[in-house]
Amino acid sequence: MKAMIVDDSGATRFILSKMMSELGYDVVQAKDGQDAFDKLGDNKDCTIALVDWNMPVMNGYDLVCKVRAENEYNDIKIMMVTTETEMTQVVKAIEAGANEYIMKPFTKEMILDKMKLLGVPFEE
Amino acid sequence: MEHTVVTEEIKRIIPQIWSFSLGSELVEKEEQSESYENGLLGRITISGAWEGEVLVASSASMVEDIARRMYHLKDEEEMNQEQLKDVLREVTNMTAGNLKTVLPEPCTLGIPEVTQLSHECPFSNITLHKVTALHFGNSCGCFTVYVGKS
Repeated sequence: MKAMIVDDSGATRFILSKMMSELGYDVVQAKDGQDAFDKLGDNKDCTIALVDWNMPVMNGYDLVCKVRAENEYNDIKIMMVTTETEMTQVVKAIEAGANEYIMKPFTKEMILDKMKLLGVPFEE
Repeated sequence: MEHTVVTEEIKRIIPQIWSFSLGSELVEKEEQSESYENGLLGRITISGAWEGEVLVASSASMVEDIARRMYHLKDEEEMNQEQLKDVLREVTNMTAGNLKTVLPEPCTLGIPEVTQLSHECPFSNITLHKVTALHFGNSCGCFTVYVGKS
């Protein structure tokens, strides 16, 4: 199982990578939306992408739009993990193709609950 | 009214960031309990229906504790300046993002910036109209959140 972590914060990438590794995932890290999109080409088998919104170069919303415009990435579940909290923005991300949404700060249990809702596999 | 709403949200979110992201505790303090010299200042703009900034100042010892906890570093492990700035940037981002939930919509967050503090009074040159300023601390150091309108 493979997960992509997209966040401009090295600390948050570290925390999420550790959580996902403990859940049995091989992790690919990207520091912004463009970096993630470039890396997806070699990681089309990703099960899930955890995506921040507020990033330089390409933000998370634009990444979701770009990924959902490509049929080959249809199976990847996208969870926004972000400080962007306005309901209009949440709706905008979901309409663009994000599957779930979680606000920072988060706990491992909160991430796990969302993964269960998405029906993605994990090791306990 | 605005002062109360913003103050209450800062009082809610800062301990939650410490609890959820750092596995640590932080309590509100009456005043800044330590020098901010050589600490870091995080700054992020909020624009739109509400225009202003959120600034967070951290003592050097506090930001080191945040970095150790976020990066799971042992006491003997070295950390670099970029790791210190990165963690304060993320705490600044989380603080402003959550504060935005109690501000008028729509608002947009800027990209947070972090600079080194060279003096004890991190907000002395700020030209914003103060909405609130709250101090927090624990055995590792102190931390202040300042919210101001443009």
